[in-house]
Amino acid sequence: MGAAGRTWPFCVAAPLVPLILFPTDWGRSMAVLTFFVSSACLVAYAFCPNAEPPSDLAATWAGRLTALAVASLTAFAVFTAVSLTWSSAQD
Amino acid sequence: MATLIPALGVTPYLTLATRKPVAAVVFTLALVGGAKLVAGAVTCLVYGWDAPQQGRTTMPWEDPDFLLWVFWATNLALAAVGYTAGARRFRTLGPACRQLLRVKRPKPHWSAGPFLAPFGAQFPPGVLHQVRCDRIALDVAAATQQVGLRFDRRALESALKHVPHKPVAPLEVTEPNVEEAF
Repeated sequence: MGAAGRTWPFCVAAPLVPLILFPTDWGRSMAVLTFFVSSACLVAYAFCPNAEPPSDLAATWAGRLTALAVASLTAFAVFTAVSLTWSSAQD
Repeated sequence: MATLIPALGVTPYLTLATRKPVAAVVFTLALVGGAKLVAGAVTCLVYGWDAPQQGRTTMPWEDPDFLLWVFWATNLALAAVGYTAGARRFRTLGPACRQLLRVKRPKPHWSAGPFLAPFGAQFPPGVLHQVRCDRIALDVAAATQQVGLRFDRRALESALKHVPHKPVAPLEVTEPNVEEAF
């Protein structure tokens, strides 16, 4: 999960850029799209071939997906909290 | 949450299939875009070609309409198919990796493990010593059967087996007696 650990800050920070730069509905839509792209990047770099070869297959598959789900949900919680805070501050 | 399901379901399979993270992300975006096109087509089939004029394609997230429900259902089906295919590919990838590692396992040039072992310390292997599937060279040409190309036929044929040379008795050629023939 080394590559995923390095990608996770990007997954959290990338959606905040359009959210802060474009405080409109279009900016929020772009933030959601950016969050989807960054989540896909997080998952892709967690399963890239440079990762360690699977030792225990079932546990590795389930463990990787569980860890990725937790990481993605945490990033989603951070993105939601910042989005609500920023939107209320703008209003 | 709707953005996480395709990312967690489809992207692992595409990453394992393409072995390139960027390509997997691009294909995931394309598949989700295709799901939206499918949802739009179904909406047009149900409500007619003037569905945009009826306000059926606005995709309100607070009050989901038919287009959004179809889009979510398509994404769920896509994620389910991707998850199943990814789990299967991951299951088949593991034994292949182990078999390759068993055939050619790179030996570390130097390791401090033997020196630190008496002190009870464990030395982590270096980056270059980690065994990975993409760093193992498999000589495919040497492992496969040699073939020979015959120009008088249109297909490749297996090379002839190497047999020991046996002494062959010389043939005695006798001149035909022309007079006896008549």
